[in-house]
Amino acid sequence: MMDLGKIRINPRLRTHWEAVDLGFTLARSWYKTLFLSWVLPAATLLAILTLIFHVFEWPLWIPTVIVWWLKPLWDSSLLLYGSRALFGETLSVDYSMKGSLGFLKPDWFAWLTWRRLSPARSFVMPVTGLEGLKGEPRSRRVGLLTQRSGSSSFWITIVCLVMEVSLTAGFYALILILIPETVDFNLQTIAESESVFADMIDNFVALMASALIAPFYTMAGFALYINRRIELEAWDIEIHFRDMVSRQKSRKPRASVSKAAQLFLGGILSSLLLFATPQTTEAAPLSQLSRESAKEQITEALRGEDFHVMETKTGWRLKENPEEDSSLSEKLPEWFIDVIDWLAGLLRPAGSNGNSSSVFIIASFLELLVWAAAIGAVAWLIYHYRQGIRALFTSVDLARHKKPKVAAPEVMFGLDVRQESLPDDIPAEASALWSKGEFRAALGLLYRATLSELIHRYEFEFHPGHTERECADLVHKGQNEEQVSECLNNFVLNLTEQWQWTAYGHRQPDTKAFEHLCENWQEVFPA
Amino acid sequence: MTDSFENRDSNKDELLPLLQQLRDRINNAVIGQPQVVDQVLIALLAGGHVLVEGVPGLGKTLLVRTLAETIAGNFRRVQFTPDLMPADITGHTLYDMNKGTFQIRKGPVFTNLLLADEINRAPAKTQAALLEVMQEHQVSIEGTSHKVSQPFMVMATQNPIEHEGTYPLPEAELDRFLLKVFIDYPSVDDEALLTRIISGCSKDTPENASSSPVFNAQQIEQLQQIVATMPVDNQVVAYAVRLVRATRESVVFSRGAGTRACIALINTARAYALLRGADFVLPDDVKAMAIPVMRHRVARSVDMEIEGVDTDALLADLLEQVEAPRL
Repeated sequence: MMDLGKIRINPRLRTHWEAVDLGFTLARSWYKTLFLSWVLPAATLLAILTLIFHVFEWPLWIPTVIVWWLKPLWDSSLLLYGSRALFGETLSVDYSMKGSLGFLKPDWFAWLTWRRLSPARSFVMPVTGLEGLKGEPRSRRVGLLTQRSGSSSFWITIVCLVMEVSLTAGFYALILILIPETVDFNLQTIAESESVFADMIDNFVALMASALIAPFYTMAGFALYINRRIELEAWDIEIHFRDMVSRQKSRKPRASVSKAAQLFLGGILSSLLLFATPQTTEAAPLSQLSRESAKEQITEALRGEDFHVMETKTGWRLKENPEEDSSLSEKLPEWFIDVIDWLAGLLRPAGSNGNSSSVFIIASFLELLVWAAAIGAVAWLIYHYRQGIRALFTSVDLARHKKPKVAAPEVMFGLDVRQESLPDDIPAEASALWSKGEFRAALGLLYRATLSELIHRYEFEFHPGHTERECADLVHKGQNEEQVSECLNNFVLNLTEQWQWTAYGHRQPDTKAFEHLCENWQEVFPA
Repeated sequence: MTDSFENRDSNKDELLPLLQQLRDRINNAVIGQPQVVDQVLIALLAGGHVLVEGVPGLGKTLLVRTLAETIAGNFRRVQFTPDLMPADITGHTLYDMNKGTFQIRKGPVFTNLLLADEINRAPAKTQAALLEVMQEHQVSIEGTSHKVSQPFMVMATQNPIEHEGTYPLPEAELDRFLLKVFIDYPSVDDEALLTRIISGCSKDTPENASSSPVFNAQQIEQLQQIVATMPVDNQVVAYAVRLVRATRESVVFSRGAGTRACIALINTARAYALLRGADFVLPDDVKAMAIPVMRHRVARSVDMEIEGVDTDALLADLLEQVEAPRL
């Protein structure tokens, strides 16, 4: 149980950023334990996952993503430790790690699914773990807590995220700086390579960056949460009066006005605290006065000068104009207000009193639009990159060896390589041209038909910049990879040589060689 | 006309084995740089000049000296420094007190092979002293033109590491170089062999090789003539022009190659074809020479410079995009 008397911090009211500072100070004080509580389970899981993924040759970045996604689990052990240490209790690393499971148990599924990306995670998580609230009470409580501290918790998340990224980038920058210029070391090449070692280094760096920042992130959110509770539940006043009561108890009882005043104020405070936070505060058994005599003393005290001091304060505050609000509400159609009210009921932050002011209606509507846009954007991204996402989850070997089939081009190198554009009997047509003395045309037909066959039948991908020699080299490479037969490779080599002699050397080709090519045509490209 | 072609073919049959011998001799001396040797020979055969970029100690001087020895030519080396004057390279006139006349003192450019070491260490006016001799093969001293001996080739070097106190070559000067050759460290095996030979751990010392010239100046000119008259199909010429024009149209270059690049591309492709023993030029020859011919004639766009993309990589990408000739 929480005993405010043992609290280790000065429970005064702080601004949000003072509270964040307090959180950072707490993180520094308990850093070693917090760091170990975070890093030990996370590193163990990462090591096991990396090993498994390495054995199955799955992408090694996925373990890092899994460990990153499970951050609420690791953060819960820090929160558990922080919540106990704040009230003077010291837990071991081992105990806080074990206790973290129970800490997050009430709604672990929510934290690991739809609440995982909540920007106020560090601030809201204690509601689950420390107060044990679920469902509607939790929503109301979160709504009440985030009324004034929500933006600070959001910025903590952003700052810590930036710090994590900076640490990661800084690590690589440090390596680059420390490596002598004479050493041929290219970080980009290593990053793009499929080196297991490089992937493991990446995983390690990402883990360490998260682990180093996590204590600050969690404690800052926790301090914001504590600060908000001090504000709402008046811990500071309660503690002061507890001190007063304990001091009073230690003295001999004297019937004096001062005692009466103390008792009176103690009574008020106790009533207030009992009224404000019945679930957390404990009323001290202060009043031994009768109700009537206490009332008399209260009335007497209220007549005193201290309660009649007039003070004037000036300042700026938002002007409230209820008339404008009502006029705006009147302008909106009833059905629209009903729909928005219904939607707002679904989205309404807990703790709100249910008044549907026009500002709230518009805010809810905008919130709905933003959520719809965000969901739409995610859906579109998934649809747009569905091939890549599918490839991620398919076997690495398949991804490596299976090339996406590219549509065969119709024109290559300015040549029509469609099979429909070629005559049915290529060798006969080429021989006819040869017999007419059109040697270049005859060889050209053979060459064009060969290219067409290579593209359509053997799925070779030639680029516009490929020369004839390079095309022949690709076919030769295809033979080495058992894509084409040796016979076809030799045919392409001979044809290319004959073609080059004719086209660029302006030499009359050898008739025997041409006839040989025509004979081989049927063999290498059977119908 | 037929006689001249027959003479050319007979000359070629005689000279090609010698050319291979020359190539082997230089490769034996300059270990582990066969591509650089080939490109320097191509520049020699095409009658051009070479700009070699590489760190010190990779055998640039040895390469030029060996080349000079094998072609029975003269070799001069000029170390370019910030205080080097144009007259220190080209030559100048001196008043002879005894004869009472002006005497011409010819500079180091009057040679067959000139090694302009670290050319970018001299200011632009000194670099410009080479413009005339590289283009016209002549030097003007006191208004009189003096022809340099043939064959004539300038091999200039520059250091890619140091930029402090250097003067980048002007575009006009760069355009005079037929090829820009990168000389890099040799492979592990070649470096080990080189170390063994130089340190006397191996008997295969370069001194064991013959030091007699393989070619005389006349034969070199004959080879250059063979290269200059080698047939080139119009499709191949069109391909070379397409490649050069593509550098001007591409957005990755802020400055494309000029018309000299088209001519250089065809001339070097011819020399390359001769070096591989062919009688005619293929598109592959043009493609093989495209990067060394154009890498110093183009300038990367600012975007590409910021992204750190190499000029060679951009040119290689361009080569894949420009359509090779077909039917």
